[in-house]
Amino acid sequence: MSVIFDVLNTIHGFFGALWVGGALLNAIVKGKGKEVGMFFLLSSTITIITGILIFSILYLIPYQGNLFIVHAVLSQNLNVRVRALLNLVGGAFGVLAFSGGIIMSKRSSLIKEVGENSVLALELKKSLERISKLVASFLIISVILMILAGSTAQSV
Amino acid sequence: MGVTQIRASRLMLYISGIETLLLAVLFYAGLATLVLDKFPLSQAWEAAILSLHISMAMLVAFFAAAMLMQAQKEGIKTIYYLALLNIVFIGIAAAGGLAFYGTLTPDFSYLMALGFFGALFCSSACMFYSI
Repeated sequence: MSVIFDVLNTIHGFFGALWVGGALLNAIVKGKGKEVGMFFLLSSTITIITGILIFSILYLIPYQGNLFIVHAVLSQNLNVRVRALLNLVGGAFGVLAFSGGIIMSKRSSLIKEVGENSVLALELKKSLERISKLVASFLIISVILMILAGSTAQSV
Repeated sequence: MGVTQIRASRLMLYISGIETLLLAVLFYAGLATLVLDKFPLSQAWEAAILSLHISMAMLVAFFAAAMLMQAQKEGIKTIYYLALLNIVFIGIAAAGGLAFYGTLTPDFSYLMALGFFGALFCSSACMFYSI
């Protein structure tokens, strides 16, 4: 089980980092890069799926007569508690960014549908710009919380 | 529905924004319940924290219903399905929460957590759709 968990954790971290990179690029190029959008969508989907699996494994593993995550949050060790809380809040920000990413991909495909130079496309691009900034901010917050959780884990 | 309507109305933005905010408060109240409360409850302040969590859950359900009604008026299929899914996820979370409270079996809290993340995804997607 720990091997599966480690593999999932590595994939989650790797694609999560790619997702943040893609989101930042997207915010910088203002949603104009088609390849960046695809890269962004793929990395975010893989990160979210592995995140859900990791969450399920952590939640449902029995640990010292309790569920693992409940045990972690209720732990006497402050570092373990802080780490569990940071991970949960970071995950919630990740979900927020993911939903924004889905809407962005829908808007991008709509731009292709209506034609790059139409008035509607301009309106869509403006909206994409605004959403990409929000998504990048949520992702940065999420990553900061996850890195803080990782650093806390080192001190346990 | 043609491609002329690219985003939902301002009202939808406000309702889904409030719903997302309420979900965040609900989440923190839930975490506070997990960290500070000991079941069965014996102190008034423990009950106050749980009451805050339940009150937020009720408000979330109320705004989810408002979101669905507004989504129906918007006439955008994606928004309508997201609002409908939001209600379903809130129902799953509520059922999980009530089962957890009724039986004190921690496994039911997993349902509550999954329902929460699903609802957060749907309500924030509605919010992004209105931006």
